[in-house]
Amino acid sequence: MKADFDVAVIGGGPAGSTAASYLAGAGMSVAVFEGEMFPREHVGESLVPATTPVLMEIGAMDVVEAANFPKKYGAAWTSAESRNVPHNGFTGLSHDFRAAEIMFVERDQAGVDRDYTFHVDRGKFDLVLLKHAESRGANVFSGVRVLKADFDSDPELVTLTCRMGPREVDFTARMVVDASGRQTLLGRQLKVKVSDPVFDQYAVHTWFDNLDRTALAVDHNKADYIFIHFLPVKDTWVWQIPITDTITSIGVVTQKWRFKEAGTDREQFFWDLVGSRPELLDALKQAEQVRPFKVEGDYSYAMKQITGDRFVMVGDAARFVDPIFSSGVSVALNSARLASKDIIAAWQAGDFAKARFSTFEGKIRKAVRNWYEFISIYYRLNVLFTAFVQDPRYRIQVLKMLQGDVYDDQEPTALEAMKEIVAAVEDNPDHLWHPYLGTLRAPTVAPMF
Amino acid sequence: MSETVPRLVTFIRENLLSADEPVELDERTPLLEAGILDSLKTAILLSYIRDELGVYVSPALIDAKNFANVESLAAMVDGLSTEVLA
Repeated sequence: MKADFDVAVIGGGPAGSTAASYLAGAGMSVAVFEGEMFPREHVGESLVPATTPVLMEIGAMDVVEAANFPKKYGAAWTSAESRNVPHNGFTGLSHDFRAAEIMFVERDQAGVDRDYTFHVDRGKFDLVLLKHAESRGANVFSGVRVLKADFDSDPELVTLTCRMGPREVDFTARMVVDASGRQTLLGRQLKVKVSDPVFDQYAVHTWFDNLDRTALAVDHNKADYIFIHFLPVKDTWVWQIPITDTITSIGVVTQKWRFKEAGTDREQFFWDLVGSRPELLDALKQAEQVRPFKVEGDYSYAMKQITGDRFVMVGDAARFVDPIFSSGVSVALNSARLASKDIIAAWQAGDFAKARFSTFEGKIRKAVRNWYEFISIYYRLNVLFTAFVQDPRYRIQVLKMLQGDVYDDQEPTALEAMKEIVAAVEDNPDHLWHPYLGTLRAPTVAPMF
Repeated sequence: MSETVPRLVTFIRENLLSADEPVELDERTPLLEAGILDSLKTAILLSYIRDELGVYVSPALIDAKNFANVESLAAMVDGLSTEVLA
């Protein structure tokens, strides 16, 4: 039987649109099934520069630039303890310790031709990318939700059962790309999804209008950076992301048990946690909340398998750890890029067996392992991250990870050094940083796929 | 006595002591019991020692013995700088 399409992409978010743009651009017939009608709200609003080469390669950079998203030149982390640091009179310090700040321009990155990336309203951004995929020749079906993928009826095909208004309709393709995001359609259907044993995070987030971003920035020129405000509550932090000139996205990330234990509603929980940083609370109280609070639970997971005969998983459909370093959209775009290379080669060979996707799988596994360790160390010993950002020997290495530049074969040396120091602090109860150890412990087992 | 002691005393006095709570600081003042050093301030101190005294102190060495007072801190820094020279 001839398939309706060479490839069917489940989900029209950034991972799905990017894959569709690559694959349609290579001449494959592509269908994208998106369950919702865009624009729709979505969390994950801050990009890293590793998205730039992908957006350029699929020819989408011009339309993204034309959308006038706020430009993101860098990132800043404020510490809960920074309020105890005197605000002036520093002598002989190359950096201001009230915030760890980095600018992307400090390190050249292969394939990146500009000093900035973007903060985006994901409703708009995802629509821009999906329209772009359509302009590249993909067939986009919006409001059509994939219910299941059948790999067994025909060994040469995948049959997708989709809900279209009141009916269920089947489509066939030679292979499927699961870009269903945190819904993890294939992961759940194939029962390969595994909850992360360490990270069980929970986020409450909303948008504020007229938040005084300069009030929270150590350096006013950097008010439009992303800010990560660490709270004096273990393993808990706040994101602050500019969405427009006046709108700012604010989210609290913490461990899920804290919410269960608090026994309050999401709104009270948000304000209680934010209240642990009085200057942040004051600034937010003077701003106007313009969206209801939304929650992200069931946070962190991996898949035992991200490729198989006639399928690959990309973006959040493959794995999600934690948003601390704004990696989500970048992992979406780059996993779609790497998967697309293998898919195009498979199509040219006329064979969509699992072995065709091993390059993609190997690279993603390696990159995500580094991300995972970096994130674990950040939670385990926050002050070490601050110290490394300020240390000229490691700053550029840390920046490389913060740029999302994790897909080459080099092992980041900063990561090794950080792991050794964490081990020393863990083993020594007299170490001055011992009391500051977070409760999340990096697992000793390799991440699962 | 090495120059390290007065330099550290000056740095800590000028940068890490809060103005509202004046603490008499000399090389024997117990830094930890007096609550002068928290995690971020130890990181700042390491940065100063690295940039201005030219000695790299691994964060692994920040323990109660080495950071007891300026005297023990200076002894560690001078020890490390001799190691580099040797």
